[in-house]
Amino acid sequence: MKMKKILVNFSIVLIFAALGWYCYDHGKAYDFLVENTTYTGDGQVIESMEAVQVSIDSIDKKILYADDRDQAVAIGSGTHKARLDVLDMDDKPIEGQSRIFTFNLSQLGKKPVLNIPLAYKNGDPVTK
Amino acid sequence: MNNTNKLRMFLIRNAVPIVFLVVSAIAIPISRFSLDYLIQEMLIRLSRNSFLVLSLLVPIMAGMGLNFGMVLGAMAGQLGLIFISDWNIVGLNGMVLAAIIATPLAIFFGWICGVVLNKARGREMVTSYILGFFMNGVYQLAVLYGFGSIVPITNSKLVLSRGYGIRNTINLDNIRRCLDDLIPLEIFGIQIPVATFIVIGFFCLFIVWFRKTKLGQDMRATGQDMPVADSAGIPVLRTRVISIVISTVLACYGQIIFLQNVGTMNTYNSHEQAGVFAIASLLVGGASVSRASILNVFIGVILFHLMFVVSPMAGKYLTGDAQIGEFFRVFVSYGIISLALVLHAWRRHADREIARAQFRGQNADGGTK
Repeated sequence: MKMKKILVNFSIVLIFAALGWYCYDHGKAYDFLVENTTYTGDGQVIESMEAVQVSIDSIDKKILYADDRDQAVAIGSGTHKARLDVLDMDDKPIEGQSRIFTFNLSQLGKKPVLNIPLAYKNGDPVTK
Repeated sequence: MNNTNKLRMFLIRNAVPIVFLVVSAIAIPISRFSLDYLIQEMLIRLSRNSFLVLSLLVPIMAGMGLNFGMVLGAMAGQLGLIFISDWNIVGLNGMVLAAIIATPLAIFFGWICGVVLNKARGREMVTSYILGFFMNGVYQLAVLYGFGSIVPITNSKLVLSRGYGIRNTINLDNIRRCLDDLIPLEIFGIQIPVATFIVIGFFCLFIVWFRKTKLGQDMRATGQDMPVADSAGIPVLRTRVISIVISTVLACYGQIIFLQNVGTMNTYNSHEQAGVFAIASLLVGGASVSRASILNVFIGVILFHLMFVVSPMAGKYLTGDAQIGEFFRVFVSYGIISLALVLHAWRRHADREIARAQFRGQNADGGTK
């Protein structure tokens, strides 16, 4: 009887711990930078874009003009979906000029920075 | 008992809600608030406070009176919220994680409170009130000196400029209204926090179910007569501790629900108000130290907060100074607790007199049968 009680209590603690870990993993917000600046590296130069709208996981939408840099938030570990829309003079998305890609924050380095021109050109934030 | 006596007993039993109803009925037109505004406010406040008030029902069932020690649970909830704010956990996940972190703390605090109250049988309310003050000191010491030094806090927005201690106010933007807005519903421009009401509904069902369980029956027996329950083989002291632990844990969840609605946390004050306002609400609903129901909770929250909303504006239009209304509502919340305690003593005395009169074979009003 006592053994059963211990087992039940242990299971409850285990369930709580697992739920806690799940909430931490799926609820933690990670800050990172998104920048619309000229990319230079790996022997290539990619010019910054005039105006682009970035949305991360369909939550955080921001407009970046040339040489802008802003803070973005991605919630949860694992992969995130980013959408880039090139904007016209009235800051409206131009049809056919958008990119959707998935990325992992660990791909972006220790101090994560998402370079928009690079990501737009490659369809991936990491150089190929 | 004749009709006059029945009416008298009804008025005595429901004196507090009747007084509140009358005062509110007078104050509403003076305050000039629209009906839409009042309905919206009442729905928000009902969703915000009901859980906290419901947490008081279990100790009343066990005969331990109004659990002023619920502030211990509120403190535990706030500690959970400090941690999730530091780790930057957002949304419902953050709220649930805060509850998970706070649960063992609340159980521990509840156990301490229960053990102390068992040593002070018959004086539970005043003991739990003073215990709340004592634990408030411990909480302040821990949060003001321990956090950031012994307990690592990495978020510089939370820590005082000296490098340790938590700031006076914490912005809970990460979980603000995450439960209230989970199922958005708007009827005639009035927003209804459906998800919060579902949680409260489940809690009410839990209370109804709990009363029928073995433990619930033990609590009721303990609440009615402790020596009789003890001789019937019920572990009275253990049952009382469990009732306080349950109440403290539920108060902890209630405080988390309350603060997710408010969106900011007063690190050193939020929990202090939780106990007094919840108890005042319950008493306004017609509950007493020894008897409370789910209906009392909802009536009390509506009446108490209706008074809370309308009194400053009514005071402003009556006297030209909103501060008078503000004083009035503080006076009301403390005054109502005193009034309810006095009425409870008076009612007990009246019940005893009636019982004695009936024992002598007389009617309650003095005539013989």
